[in-house]
This record gives sequence, C-alpha cells and structure tokens, in this order.
Amino acid sequence: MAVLVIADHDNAHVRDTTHKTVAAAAQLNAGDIDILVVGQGAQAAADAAAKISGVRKVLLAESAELGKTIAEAVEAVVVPMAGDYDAILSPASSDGKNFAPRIAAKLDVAPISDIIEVVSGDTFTRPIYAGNALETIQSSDKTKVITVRPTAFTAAEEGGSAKVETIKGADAAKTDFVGEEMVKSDRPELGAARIVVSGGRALGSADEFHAVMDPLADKLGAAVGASRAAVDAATPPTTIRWARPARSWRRSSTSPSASRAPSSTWPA
Amino acid sequence: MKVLVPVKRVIDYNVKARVKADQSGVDLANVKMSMNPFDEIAVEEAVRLKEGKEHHAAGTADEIVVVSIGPSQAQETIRTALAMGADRGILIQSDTDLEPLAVAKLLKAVVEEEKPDLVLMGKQAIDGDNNAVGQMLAALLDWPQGTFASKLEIKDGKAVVTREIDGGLQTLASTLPAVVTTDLRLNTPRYASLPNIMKAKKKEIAMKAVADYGVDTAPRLKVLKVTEPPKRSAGIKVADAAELVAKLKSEGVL
Repeated sequence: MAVLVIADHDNAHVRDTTHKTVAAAAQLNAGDIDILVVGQGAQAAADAAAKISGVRKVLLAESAELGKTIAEAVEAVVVPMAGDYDAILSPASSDGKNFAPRIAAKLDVAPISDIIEVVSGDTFTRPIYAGNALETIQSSDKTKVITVRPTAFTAAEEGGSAKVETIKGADAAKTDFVGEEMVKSDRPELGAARIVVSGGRALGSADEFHAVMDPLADKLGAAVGASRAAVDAATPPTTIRWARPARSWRRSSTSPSASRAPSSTWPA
Repeated sequence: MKVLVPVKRVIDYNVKARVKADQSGVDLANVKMSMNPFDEIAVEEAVRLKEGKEHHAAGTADEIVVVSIGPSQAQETIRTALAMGADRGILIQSDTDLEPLAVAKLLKAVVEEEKPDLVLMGKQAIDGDNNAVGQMLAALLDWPQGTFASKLEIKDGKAVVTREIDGGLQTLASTLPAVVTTDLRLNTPRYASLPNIMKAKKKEIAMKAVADYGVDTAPRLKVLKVTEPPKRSAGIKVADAAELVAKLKSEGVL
C-alpha cells in the first residue's frame, strides 16, 4: 500500500512544506509515496515534485477551481483515489486545513490535524490547547487523513526522477472564486520559515516596524513575524502575525513554545 | 433566512491548561469554562445578520438557533448565546468529549431537522485545536464551505466569504445552504446587556441526548497520553549587536 501527499505549490514551484510532508510520509513506513498536485497550469510544479527523492509518481489534476484550491474540488479529486492509499497527508497550510477534514468526512475517518511527530504508522503527536499540551493519539481508521506541521520535520532531499501522470480534474459546482488579495513578498513563508524575526507593539508604528524589521529579515533571509497585539494595533499587515491560533510556527521539535504568543496578546 | 450556530463549552481562553500528572489529559476540574472564542464570533455575526448591523441588510437572518453538544453545564454556554441575541437553543447531552467526526454527524442530523440556510461556526475549538468540524459537516451535507472567514456578506442566495489564507485573503461565493467558519477578525463579539441576560432566561433550550439522533459516535482515535511540551529555557542578555550575531552563529541559528 502507499501514502498520498497533496503538494503545496504555486503552480510554478513546489513549496518546501511539500518536501517536509514527504519526510513525514516516509516515517509512516507504508511503502510507496505518491504526490498529488492539484492546480491550474501546474505542470512545472508537478515536474518539480517529481524531483523529490523517494517519490514513486506524481499525479497532476488541473481545473480552474483546483487552481484556487477550492476544497470541494480537491475533495472530488482525492476521494475516488483514496482506496489506493493507507494515508493521505498534506501540509497544515491554510489550504491543507481547509480540504483535509472534508476529505476525511467523505471517507468516514477521523482527521488528524497538525502532527509534529510520527511515532509509528498509526500513532502521532500533535499540540492541543494552543501548544500547552501535546497529545499522542493512535488511529484505528483504515485510511489516515493527516495534516503535518511542516516546521516540525526536516525536508526530504531532491534527486528523484518520478514520472508525472495527468489525471482528471474536478470543479466545484456550488462555489465560485471571486478574487484574492495576496501580499507580495520575496521573503520565506512565515509558516515554513527556518528563521523568523518577530516584532511587537514597542516598535510603535507601521513605518518604524518596517524600517527596523525588514532590513534585518532580508539580511538573515528570515520571515517577518509580529505579535497579535502589534497586528491589532495595525502596526504591520495582518498576514505576518504569528500569534496563536491564526498562524503557528515552530522551529524544531525542541521548542514548541515558540509557537505561542503571550496570552495577554490574544485575543485582546 | 435561518442560521444554525454550533457552540462549544471549553476552557476559558485566559486560563492556562495544565496537564494531569497521570498523562490522561488536561485537568478541567474547578477550571473556568466559557464559550469557545471563535464560536462567540459566529454568534455575534449571526446576530448582526438578524439586526442588519454593519454591511448586512436588516432581517438577513430571521431566526438563530444555537446548538451545543456537551455536559448539562453547556446550557450556560447556550444561555450566553441567547443573551447575545440568538432565539433558541438545543443541547445534545454528552458527558464524553466527542471526536470531530461524531460531532459533525450529530450536527448533520440537527441540520436535517432544523433545515437552516447557513451554518455559522468557529473555525476551531481552543481545546482540541482540530479545525475540522465545519469542513466535515459541509462534506457530510454535500454543502459548499467558506472557512476562516474575516468577512461575510449574504447576497443573491450566496454567502460571499473573504477568507484568511496563507499570504493574503481569498474571496469565494458559495451557493446557500453553506457552512461558514469564523476567524478572529470577522467581528468583535458584544457583551450581553443585563436586560438581555434576563430575557435569555425565558428562551427555550431543547434537551436532547446523543442517542436521539441514532448516529455512530464511536471514537476512532485513542489518546495514549497527554504530556507537557518541553520547557522553554530562560534567555540571556547580550551587550551589543556584535555579540548577538556571534551568539546566533555559535548556536547554529545563522
């Protein structure tokens, strides 16, 4: 049997979070690992995914709705092929969190959210109570639907040469894409960054925040983070806050507390 | 339009969760419990839909039903929602904490009975942090979903939801009926006024049991242990930037 990893990508590139999820998949010892790329115009991402070592094949499904990762469309692609897999993994990105429980419900299995450790093929550790406790759970379901906290795993290496197969895409009859407002940034994604420089309210204003934090982050190749209090004071833009529970970040398995904000900053 | 708002009674967000010494779970004895903060935001948005506050047309919602699954004390949680402006409540009594799949199945049964046009609920509960029930309920009902909402508009039979996603915002329009889950920026919940708290005491709460719905709520996950996260060690002070950089380098951060 095998594991399916649903890739996190921007159609042109595969994000590092995918490599980390493949690493988690490898720890399940379930045999073959396939990657599913859902998107639109995502051939380049599929080709990139094929280079991750340890991958058997890459499946590429495309449609307009899949290009926007609409959960209903992702569900329609994944559920029919779920029987071929012991486990379906995706990074715990906002997309993964959006579609994974939906897939689990269709398969009548319990989703396992945001794991930080694979103990064995059916046992996992995940944070609960905003990281104030860690729960180790064992699943009795035949198919395990899991989201993986990428920063808790070391990325799988490149060097593979899997083949890419195109499969049928799907649409979402009841949901239309209206628009999006993405913040352009050349810095790493906050959720997956190795280094985060984080600022708080003491910086005073948005101008001061960017004047201090941006050059520092660029120098270190780091993502910029901000406490919820700073974000709520409209100091930096909302997309960079790291305080719980909107975005969590974890450097390694040694410091889960890094993902917690001082409780006084939440929900403020 | 009828709105169903599922709410959960959880540890108060100001209380620090403590792990039990026998690693069987988190100690909830004599701990302050409150409505899950995300659910409070869902109740507030439903009440605004009814009142026509903010950008909502008056009377967008005409009835708000609140449902909770939990111990009999969850009646207090429902009363809180009723005091904020919901119309009536349903408590499905359960002394065990059910898994998201079981909760989604029970809510599906409630939806089939109540036939709401919109289910508005928190994106996650701050105890289990699963972030799953809304998506699962939508799947079981074959309804569209709009998760992590920071803005909601109801127009032309659609829920137009602006979602907080990695790196920005995405707006989707889903045909009703739909499930919408709330993120923190959707609104700031009100404090219930004393007259409304008094009025809420007269509102109806239907008492039900899990068995009334005939759904399979057997657990699929076994909790082997609950532990404390590794302790964070104390920080150090450095004299200047050069020492900071040297320290970061020696620690392998840079």
